[in-house]
Amino acid sequence: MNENEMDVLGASDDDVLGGVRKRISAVEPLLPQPPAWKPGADARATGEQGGRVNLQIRPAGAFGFGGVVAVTLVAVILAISFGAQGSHGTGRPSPASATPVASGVLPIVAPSVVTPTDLPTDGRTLGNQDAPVTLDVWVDFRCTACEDFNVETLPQLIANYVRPAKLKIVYHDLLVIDSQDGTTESRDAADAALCAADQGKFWAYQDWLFANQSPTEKPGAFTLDRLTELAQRAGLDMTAFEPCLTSGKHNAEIVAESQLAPSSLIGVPSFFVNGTALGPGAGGGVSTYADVAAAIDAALPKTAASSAPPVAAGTFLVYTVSSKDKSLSGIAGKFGISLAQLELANPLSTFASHNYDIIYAGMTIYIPWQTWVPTPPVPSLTTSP
Amino acid sequence: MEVVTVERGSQEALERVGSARSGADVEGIDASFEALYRQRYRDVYRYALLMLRSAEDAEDVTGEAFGRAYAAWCSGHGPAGQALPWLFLITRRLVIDRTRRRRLLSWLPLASLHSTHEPADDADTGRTEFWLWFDRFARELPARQREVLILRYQRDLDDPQIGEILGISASAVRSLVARACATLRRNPEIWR
Repeated sequence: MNENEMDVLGASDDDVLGGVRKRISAVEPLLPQPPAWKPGADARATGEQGGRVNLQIRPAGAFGFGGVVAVTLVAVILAISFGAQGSHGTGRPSPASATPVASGVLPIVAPSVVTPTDLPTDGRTLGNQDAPVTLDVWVDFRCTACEDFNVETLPQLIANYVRPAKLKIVYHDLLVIDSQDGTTESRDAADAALCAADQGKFWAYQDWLFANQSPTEKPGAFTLDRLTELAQRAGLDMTAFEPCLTSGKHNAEIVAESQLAPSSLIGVPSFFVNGTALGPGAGGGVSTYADVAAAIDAALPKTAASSAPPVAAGTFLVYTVSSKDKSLSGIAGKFGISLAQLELANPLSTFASHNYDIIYAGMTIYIPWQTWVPTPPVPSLTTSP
Repeated sequence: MEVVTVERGSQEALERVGSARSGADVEGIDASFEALYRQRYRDVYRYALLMLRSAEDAEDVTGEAFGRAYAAWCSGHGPAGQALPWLFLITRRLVIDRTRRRRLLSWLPLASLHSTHEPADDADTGRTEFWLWFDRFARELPARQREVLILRYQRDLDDPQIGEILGISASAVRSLVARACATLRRNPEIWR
């Protein structure tokens, strides 16, 4: 043991705590100034919304279930809904932007988690069309467990699989709750979402839908008026959206899709990874991120890891990050390529497991040659801007 | 807004807070709470940020914590003693709620935080460095030891108050601190 090590082991608690305090103090610049205090705006003594419905079960018989299977189905359903207890125990915190409202009128709140807009999308498909794995997700916009998926699991899937172009996610409608209360709000919400898809804004709009669903799954949240207001808030082109929604343009295809859904589907949200149904999650409830991720990993081509980033000289530009670079997306933008392209060209370690914040001056990043060479050479490469 | 305040706090409750009988006194309550808010916002935010490691979540939780504190304050359920431990207690419940909701029962490694939570565009060197360090710190220490050090960072909280927040005794707080120090002593790069 050298002198230095002796020194460390002999350090007093005060030394250690002082050192930790000093390091923690680096957080100070990250703290914002308090926003103006608005009494009442946030004083929601009634924020708790009670229990959640964990998994929406498709009613037996609704889409051709026979009486024979009903008994088995009930057993499965019980297992699923009991297993899900506890994993969703607490009420949803009300979004900070909730505004006090007159009784009977649901406030419109901004989504707390927003689907990134810099990813390739095509209607209800999110991600690169050529991604090796497809995750089909069946949802009902009124289903609270679907919202949980949307807020908790989807962002992680996007960061870890969609962004690196390993996965594309396709949403489908399974109208479950309408048939339970005799309304058409699930269908209308799905129609509105497809109207948004017509404008290429399905993903933005569905964030708003889920954020504004009824926490009790009761009707009233997705009236045509409210769907219209949500569209306005989501920034849709209202001249196209309104006629689309009021005419029920997509209703028929939504109902057809729902009825033609695989018969193995008993509830929402349900998942298929490359066409294979993903059973209930480990706890018996809705599949968690870990469940879905494991299924995706298993479906990913085995050779991908070894063949993906052979960085051959001459086909890549070796770019050294400067202190002016703020983020990987900034660097990708500089070369006119997408983050996914950038990521495919680099060893995984470059991306610190997709934490795009971690870049540092002097770090080496490979820019795929074919993506930038057809355009005139980028002047900022050699002559700094 | 004043109307809301008067409705929420009963007359009796208002008296308990400070012999309030008129709208002017209600404004007095608002003013004293606002002073607390301005004084402590960053403290509560820091705690929430270090516990949740997401600026977005920290902002939500801080806003909600003060919202709840205000409702309690107006209805006469303000702090029995010091305001700060009381605020932290409210915040801590919200942090735990949110942690459960996100199934982050144990702390996620930094790598699994995704970019939607930490927008890449406002990354700067100091920020990145801090989170890299914090990730290391968080990986070495179990959750409770970590939390106790985060609370200890707040110089105006003493061990009995930290114990109150965590629901343990002051001596249990000191023992957590000692264990944390023992762990950290073996990892000098975290504190040197």
